[in-house]
Amino acid sequence: MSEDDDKKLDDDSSSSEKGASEPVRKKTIVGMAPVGQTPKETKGTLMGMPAIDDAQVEADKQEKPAAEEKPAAEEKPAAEEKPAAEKPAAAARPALYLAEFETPDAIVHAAKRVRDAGYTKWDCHTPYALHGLDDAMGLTPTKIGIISFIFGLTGVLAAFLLMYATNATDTSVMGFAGYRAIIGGKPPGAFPSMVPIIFEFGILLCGLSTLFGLCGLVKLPRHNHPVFSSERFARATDDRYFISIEAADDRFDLEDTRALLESTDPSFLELVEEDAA
Amino acid sequence: MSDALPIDTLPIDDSVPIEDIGERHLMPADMTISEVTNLVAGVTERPAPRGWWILFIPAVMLAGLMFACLGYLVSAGTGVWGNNAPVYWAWDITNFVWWIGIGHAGTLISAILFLFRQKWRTSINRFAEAMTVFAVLCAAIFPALHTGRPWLDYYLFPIPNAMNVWPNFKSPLMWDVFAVNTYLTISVVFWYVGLIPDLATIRDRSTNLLRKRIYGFFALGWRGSHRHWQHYERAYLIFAAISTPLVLSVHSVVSFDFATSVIPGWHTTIFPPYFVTGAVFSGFALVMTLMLIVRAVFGMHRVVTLKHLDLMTKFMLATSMLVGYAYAMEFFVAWYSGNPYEWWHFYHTRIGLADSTGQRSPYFWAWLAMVSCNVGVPQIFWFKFARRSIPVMFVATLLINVGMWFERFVIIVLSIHRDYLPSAWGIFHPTLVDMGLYLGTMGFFLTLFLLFVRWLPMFAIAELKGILPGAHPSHLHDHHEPHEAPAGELSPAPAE
Repeated sequence: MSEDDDKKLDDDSSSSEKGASEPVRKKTIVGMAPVGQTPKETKGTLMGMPAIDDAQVEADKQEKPAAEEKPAAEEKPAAEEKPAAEKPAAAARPALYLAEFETPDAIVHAAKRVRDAGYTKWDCHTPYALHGLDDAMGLTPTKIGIISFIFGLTGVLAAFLLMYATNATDTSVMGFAGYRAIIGGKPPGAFPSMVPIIFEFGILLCGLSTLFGLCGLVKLPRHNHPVFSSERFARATDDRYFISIEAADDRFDLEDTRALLESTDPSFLELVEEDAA
Repeated sequence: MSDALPIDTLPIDDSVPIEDIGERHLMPADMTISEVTNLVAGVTERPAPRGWWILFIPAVMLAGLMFACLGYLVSAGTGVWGNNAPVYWAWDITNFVWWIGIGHAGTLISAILFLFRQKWRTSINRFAEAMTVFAVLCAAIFPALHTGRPWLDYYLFPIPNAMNVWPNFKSPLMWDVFAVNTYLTISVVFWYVGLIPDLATIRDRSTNLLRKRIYGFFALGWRGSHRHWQHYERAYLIFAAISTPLVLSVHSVVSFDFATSVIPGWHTTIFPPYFVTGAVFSGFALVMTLMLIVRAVFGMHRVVTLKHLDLMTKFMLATSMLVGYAYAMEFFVAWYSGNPYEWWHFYHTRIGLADSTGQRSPYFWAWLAMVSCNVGVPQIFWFKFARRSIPVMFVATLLINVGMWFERFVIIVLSIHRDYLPSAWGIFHPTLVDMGLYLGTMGFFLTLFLLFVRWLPMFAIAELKGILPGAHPSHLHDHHEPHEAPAGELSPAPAE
């Protein structure tokens, strides 16, 4: 894996479309991991640190242009320093980039940029349902209503069949026979008296299917997610807005993706790794 | 991006007040998102305030009384209640209807006000939903015991059995079984789905591993993902959409228990809307009583502002007028129908005037209590000082709940203690077990409720954040289509 990453680092500016269209940023983000370092090295040093002293920011500034403007063919000193061979490959595997924003406007604008760059496996994390993000992320409308509707109708039909089979016929279904009960002078299959239970049972199935449909669509409960490795991510349920771009995305590239996110002016940006097993 | 924009991006944002008509933001202007988190989640992290213990200890003692009464009742039989011929339905059914009715306000606030986009509901909906769940639990105890042999209650469900005995689905009592069970299930689901993002908030704030695990377990791994929010918001809308007819149906079905009979005072078509209105009225009153206590105990004055309380009192005033209309209409129909039994019931039982033979009901004071508490007391909310005064609200809401209990007592006991034949008339005397069980369910309810406010987010954190000023992108506030900025324009790069 590390070798693949090295390769990406080396030839990204020529091979990726993003490198051509996006101007490379010179800006330094406080807390940003220097590019030349391996993900493993950055973890525990800079990642998750909220603030860095001025000297460190200066160091970043000096280091970054060299790293970013590196021609594809150039031999990279950082790659030599990296003790890639000694490490298990999985330990250093990047999982996602996480960019933090402080205002709803900032994340909506950033989301539009990420959407337009063509990423698919990415997400916004917000403390509440933020209006306008559906469009900014280019999401298609949810289909959960179809699930609720189908199961609601199933409940309606099931309740009718249950009452009809047990109260209006005496035929045996799987060994259990109904009884043609005439009560209150009403015929055995009187429909009006079935309406309340048909209604309630339809609602019951509709509600339960909405719950389980929701769990299925959002794939929760889920035991863990790489995004939780970031210490700053705890604020996603408090007062900050995050964009995560997963390494599993086809367009994911350690350099380009970071450049894209940097250009959206996040208040913090970090590379989150898969947890070492 | 596309021609058919999702509704969220249309340039109409109802979270912005219409300043022309004097609207203001619901929450204090200086309230920040993290303040909401700290205020609400903080309650679960600090030791309980003294006021909580002062309420919790008696509540647990009363809950113990309920379990003692339950144990005695199950071992000795329902004869320990005061129910006897002709009053077979007495306090047990009164309490059942009262508790179910209280639950209805929770669903009204969480579902109906949601559909009507009443944003002020976000400060009270979690609270009221929890109340619904606990009130329905208390309510379900009474009919379950009233069957006489509660260990055979599974007969109520259509379970295939060797004797091929099935429930009689034509009976309103069976409809009740389905309505109440569906209502309980859907209320729990609605409540829990709303809790998921807030449980994640508490999980992410936890420093203690045990808390992190427990809250994390129930938060299902929620990570605030917008791809999830999108489905979640629609699911929430569906829950609101199905809960609205559900809540109307539940108390309607409860009223069918009475309306489909032939007893004077019960046999009337006004019952379904009458019961639903009364339910919402009493539920709102109890939400408010508890809200005033919790607001003071936990210092939540910035979340539940006087504006919220003002809106709630207006709601109570409106439902009180509807209930008053139903009371008047019952009398009108009793007269207009020309049915002598119906008329006798209203004239001599409810108002308590003696007829030509000197007969009258000894219970007229119950009707007086009902009308004065439910129609008289709320009229004070026409005055602004009453809508701003916490003591007035507290006393008024307590009286309303007393009045609503009497309404159910009037409907149930007064109707059956004087039906057609004077020789079959009787009187009802509650026993100590009746009283203990009623007080006990109050303790049980309060215990669950206090545990809820102590350990769960008592306000919908995520929803409250969504109505704060500036919570949504500013382009939604401008009345033009969102402008798509070309890449690179947003944050110009420094010159090379």
